[in-house]
Amino acid sequence: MKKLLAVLFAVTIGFVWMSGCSGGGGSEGEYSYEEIMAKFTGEPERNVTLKVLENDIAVDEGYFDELIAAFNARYAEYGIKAEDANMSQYTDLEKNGPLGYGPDVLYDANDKIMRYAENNHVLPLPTERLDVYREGVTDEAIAQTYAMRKYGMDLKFGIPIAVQTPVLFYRKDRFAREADADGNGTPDVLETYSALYEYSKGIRAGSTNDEPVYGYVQSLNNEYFNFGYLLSYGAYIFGETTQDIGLAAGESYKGLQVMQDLASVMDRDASSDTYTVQAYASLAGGKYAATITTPDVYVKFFKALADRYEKSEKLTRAEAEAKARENLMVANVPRLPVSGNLKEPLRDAQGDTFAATTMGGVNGYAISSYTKSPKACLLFAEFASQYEQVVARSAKLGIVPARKDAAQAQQVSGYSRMVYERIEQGRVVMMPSVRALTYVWSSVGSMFAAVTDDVTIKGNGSPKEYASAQSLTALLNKTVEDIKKTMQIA
Amino acid sequence: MGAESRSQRAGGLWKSVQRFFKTCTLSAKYSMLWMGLGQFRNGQIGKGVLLLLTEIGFIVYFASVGVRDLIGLFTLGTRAGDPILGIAGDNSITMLIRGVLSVLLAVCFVFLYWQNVRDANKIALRRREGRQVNTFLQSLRALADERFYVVTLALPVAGVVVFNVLPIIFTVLTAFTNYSSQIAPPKLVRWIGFGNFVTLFTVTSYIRTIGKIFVWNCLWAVLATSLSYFGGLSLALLINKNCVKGKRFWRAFPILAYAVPGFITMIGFRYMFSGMGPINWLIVKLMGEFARVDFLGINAVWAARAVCLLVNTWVTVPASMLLSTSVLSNMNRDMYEAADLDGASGIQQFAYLTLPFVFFATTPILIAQLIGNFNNFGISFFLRGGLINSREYFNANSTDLLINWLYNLALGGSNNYYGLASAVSILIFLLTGTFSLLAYIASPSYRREDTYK
Repeated sequence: MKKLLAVLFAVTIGFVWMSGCSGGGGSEGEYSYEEIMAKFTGEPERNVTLKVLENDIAVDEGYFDELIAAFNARYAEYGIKAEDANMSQYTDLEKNGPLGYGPDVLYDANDKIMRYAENNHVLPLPTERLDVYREGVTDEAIAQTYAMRKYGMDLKFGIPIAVQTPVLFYRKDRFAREADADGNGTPDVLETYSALYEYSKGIRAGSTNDEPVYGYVQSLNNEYFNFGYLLSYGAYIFGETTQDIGLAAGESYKGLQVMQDLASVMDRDASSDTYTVQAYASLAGGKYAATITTPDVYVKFFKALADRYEKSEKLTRAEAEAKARENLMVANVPRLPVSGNLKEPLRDAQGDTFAATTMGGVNGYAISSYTKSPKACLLFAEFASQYEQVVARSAKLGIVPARKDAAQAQQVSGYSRMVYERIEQGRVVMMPSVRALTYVWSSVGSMFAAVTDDVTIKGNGSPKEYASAQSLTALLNKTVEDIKKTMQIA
Repeated sequence: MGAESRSQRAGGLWKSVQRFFKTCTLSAKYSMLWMGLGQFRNGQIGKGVLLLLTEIGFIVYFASVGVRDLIGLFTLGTRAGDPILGIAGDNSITMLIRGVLSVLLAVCFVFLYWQNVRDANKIALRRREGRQVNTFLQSLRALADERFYVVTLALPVAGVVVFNVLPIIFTVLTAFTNYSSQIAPPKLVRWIGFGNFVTLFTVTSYIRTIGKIFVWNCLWAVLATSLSYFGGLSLALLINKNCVKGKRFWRAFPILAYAVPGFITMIGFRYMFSGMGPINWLIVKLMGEFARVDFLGINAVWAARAVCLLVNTWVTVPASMLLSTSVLSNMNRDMYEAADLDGASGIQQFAYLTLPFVFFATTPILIAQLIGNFNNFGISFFLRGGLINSREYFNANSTDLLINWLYNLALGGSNNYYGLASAVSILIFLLTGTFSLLAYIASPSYRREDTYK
């Protein structure tokens, strides 16, 4: 026994000693701007192939092929060639980069790119050489999503391409009989969530259980979309520090109440993992009348609708696409009731409601710190973010350009200007570009699932466990605690 | 008494080593000075050259990289890398692996050194006794003949050391570091002693979660194994009955269920028990909306656990049935005839003849099943669809087992707390290792090995 204790003691002492042996974490020394940008100095590398990790939709819809073909032709004299990295768009550079598996250039959301930036996995960019960062080209709120203070300097780690924030997609024919009192082109029932709730309730009641038809449906699994309900009622993500988490701030519980009301008139599939994929066909097929999602999937709805017309109405492809373009509409996210109660009739559609706030993000390019050809990568990112390319991307995919000039272009859909207006009015809260945000998602996702399942599964259309402001606030506070614990341990 | 005998054994070993040093031959002492010298003295030039080169090789390795790797094991690097500036820095994880490898190589070298001394001594004694000593070629031939097992097993053993032992040591050591996706190369990873274990057992949410998961994990292992085992046995007994016609036909159905990959079955069940699935549809049709059951919802506890048990039984019973069928086919029918003559009822025959025999034959497999169920990752993962953060849990849900929690901590979402997950894996290993050892020693298969011989 004594020997066993002695061995245990020796092991303990060994580990305590080992813990004292480790070196420090290392700190960023003092470097000049030129030293930090050294990788971009000089002639571009010649005869190199760049692995570019693009957004899946851009690849599927053929835009990426056009982009790399144009780039490869432009830089043929240098022998620089870009090609698809053939990796999942969710490839984690943090894990794969140091092992040499990551792409050279990647297209991702600002929160993810900046998470990489925190640990030096992506390179800071020489913004003075990039057209997109020329004064007045990109809105400051958008540009700031890629900013981080490092080495004692304000540096930018991404090249903004597309703004992401929820917008309302709907089929015009489904609302043909609805009034448009203010004549703004959007039916009144789509102007407020209260009216949309009533409309959805009526539509569902008027359809059969065997062939149900719904009004408004949205993914209940998507934290990014759902966050907007909380933000609209006064919640915030982080305050001055990441320790200040404001999910329960203001009257954010009302946002959850709105979600509960909406969930009660939605298709149960809205909480399934496959909702996003089936939403395109469901809107095209008439099962759903309206939904919210990000503008970059416009092309998915458009194609589903055109396919439908082509098959069911025996139209030519051109006729089907023309009809789909005419019928598929994009509008602002509806206004929310001050009361947070969608069942309560509005006396004044304007006075009793307010414009919703949504969460936003900026997708763009970043350059891996592990690339062997940083200068060629910069050429690619520069090329892909030029006015002509961004306009072409927007025209083909329906994205909202991050460049102001591109957003005003004729070829770009009108809703791009609408989204820009919302950004300027402060109604789009950009995802914080800090690692701490990663600890928010899973806890918040579980909270949304708990609230909506309470209505759709447990409560048979009305909340059971989270039926009061107190219980919802308690849930919000518990979620904040969960996030803090995760952050504390991390 | 036990401690005393262990102490005596250790003392005896030391004394025999001392005795060896006093009584060994001059060749052995030569070999102690430098590997192979004793063999040279014994006239075994070829073997001597090989051993001499081995020591030179080891010294060169240790002088060039071995010492650095060994030091690296303790420091885990002193200079953080910065890929932005092109500073390679020290890679803590590579240093950890190389450090462990250097320790393993050092252990191998010590073992080889000892064998070299023993060999020199043995050959010198043979020569002294006038017995024949193998030449180098004869030794090689002996390796290909009577010691062929050494040649054939050496490579697999080396493979096990590199591909199994090394990763296990790496995982164990990771538990004592702060390695996570945030603190990973190019940043420096640090030794934090028992920090991860302290976190596990002091952070309130962790203690609460680990306690809840552990209790459920034990309950699950026992229930899941029992249901599978007795379900399979019952099915086998039923199909084995003389009155059952078309035995092959009936046996084919469970085998069909077994043939479908488990995770596909689980995904199917997940849909069936979901809020919009056919089971809830049927419940609502028959009893109305109020009866809808949130089987696998985020905060579902016992309903979800019952579904997990049911699905696991469905997936595992066929294999258990096949096992029981093969064991039953070896039973001595005379015993049953004798029991019939003695007037034993069917239940008595089952309790006193069938069960002891089947239990005896399958105990090791039963223990393996229990351990397998204790670490049954797939059921909760596929049925709950990766739901985490249930009420009263931290990074887990009510059906998660320790292995799922380990996954959630290591790879779930954006956690990647590798150090903490390694600490949990050590706990799991200690629990399952201790249990399986004790259970096997206590089992009839071990204690009464000769019963059915």
